Amino acid sequence: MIASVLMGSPDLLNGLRQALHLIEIGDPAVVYTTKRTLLTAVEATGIATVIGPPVGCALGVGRFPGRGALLAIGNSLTRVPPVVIGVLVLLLVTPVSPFGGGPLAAFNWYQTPDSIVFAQTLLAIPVLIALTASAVQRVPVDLLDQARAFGAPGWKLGLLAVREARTAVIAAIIVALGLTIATVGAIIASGAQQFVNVPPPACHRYCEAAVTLAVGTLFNFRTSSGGVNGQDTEPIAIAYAVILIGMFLVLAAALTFLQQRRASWIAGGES
Amino acid sequence: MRYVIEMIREGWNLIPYDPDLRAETIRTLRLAFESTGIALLIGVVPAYLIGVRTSRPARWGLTIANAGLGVPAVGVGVLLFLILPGHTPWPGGGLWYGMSAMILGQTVLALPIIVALGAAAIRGLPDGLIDQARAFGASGWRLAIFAFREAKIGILTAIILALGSAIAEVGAVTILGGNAERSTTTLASEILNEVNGDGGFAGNAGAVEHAIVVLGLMLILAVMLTVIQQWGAIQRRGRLRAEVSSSQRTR
Repeated sequence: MIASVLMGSPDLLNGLRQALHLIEIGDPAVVYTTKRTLLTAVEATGIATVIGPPVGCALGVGRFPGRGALLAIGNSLTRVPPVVIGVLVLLLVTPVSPFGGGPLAAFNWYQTPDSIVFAQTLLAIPVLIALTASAVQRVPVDLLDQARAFGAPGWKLGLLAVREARTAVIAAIIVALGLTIATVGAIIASGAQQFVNVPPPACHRYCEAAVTLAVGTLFNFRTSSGGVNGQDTEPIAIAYAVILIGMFLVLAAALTFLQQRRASWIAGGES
Repeated sequence: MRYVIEMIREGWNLIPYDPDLRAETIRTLRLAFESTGIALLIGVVPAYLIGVRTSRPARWGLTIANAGLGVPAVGVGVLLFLILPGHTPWPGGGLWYGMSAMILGQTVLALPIIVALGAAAIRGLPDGLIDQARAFGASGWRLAIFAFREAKIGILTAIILALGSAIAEVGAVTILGGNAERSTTTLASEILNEVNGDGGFAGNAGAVEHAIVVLGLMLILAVMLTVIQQWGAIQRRGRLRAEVSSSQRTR
């Protein structure tokens, strides 16, 4: 039944045909946007990987006062909506205002690729912290106690725990990659999707090329926009969506392969 | 820093004077509760079947549900928009546009949360509990009710996470509903309108205002989640104590 609905939908078939044509001929906007997406995701996830897993590991196996409270805070930070993170970034990087600039105005990140990476990094860090913490907490306690008894210093203990839980930590990094690729809220709310001025055409709000595939899908596929300069931009939005879903499938396959039946994209959901 | 503080104060002060805020909040809550409710109705049977069975289809179902947790929302939005009948370039007719399309899209996004977390909750029950119930003669829907009652903490957690995802969602909702002011904006998607449409001081203040309300709703959900999980921890401890005392008695 589902197949007949899919096959019987002329919009879907036409859209897909045009979109696949755009991908096949290597439309400059598609190539640019895909590159930007991968670049943003890798940069943001890379920075978040430097910060998130060590903190998560410390919270997971460390022994210090306030650990439980910090862990609870880390878990609830994963549920802060992306748009709220975006607004926070917007406030932090705004260059000029009647009250002076935001605290990070000196970096000149406003409406640049850097502010997008910043926003997506803030999005990814809590997820990495929460997933790493829950991963190292599943490492057998006896092992860590033994290491403690042999007098291993804290950082070595953490390293041991991460090595034992490496599959789950890698899975957490894949989840973070998926988030930074697919999330639109933080980027658009930080006002940073406007920086693109790539060839065809120089664009501001409704443009063909975009900062990430997901943002491009959203802005070229709005019920109310009606296209750029009277041109129909729906095919390119569908092309972006097709590439986006392809990336998602690759990541999902990797995640499933890594963690048979244990894959979880949501932090704090498994308790 | 003064800018951030001033903006937060400005946003906070705007809350009582925004004529649209009430309608947007009601729309957001309607989206959240209706989509979660429908997803619960659809997802409860698959969650149970995947939870109690260990056959190959059940394992595949769990894998698919787990993968679905990370599906890009804009992709779901585009796919549904193209499949649904009754849309035209300008929304002018048909059944599936505006709120009903948004609720359908969010239902698709909420379904994996209900199925994956619900099944995980049932699988996480103590070993042999289901078998024991079966041995005592429970079967069919009695067994299902028993399993869900035992796994209620996990199910409630899934419901809260689904509600939260609806409140925070902008991708599918914006594509399917068009994000038109006064008819299909939610609290979260209105932030996008404020930042990109108005911009400048007024737009940023409006964005902060909506961000405060969204965070308030998420805070309520977080408190509910904490209460539920504490309740679960107390119950688990009680069950453990009962087991210990019964084992001592047999000795």
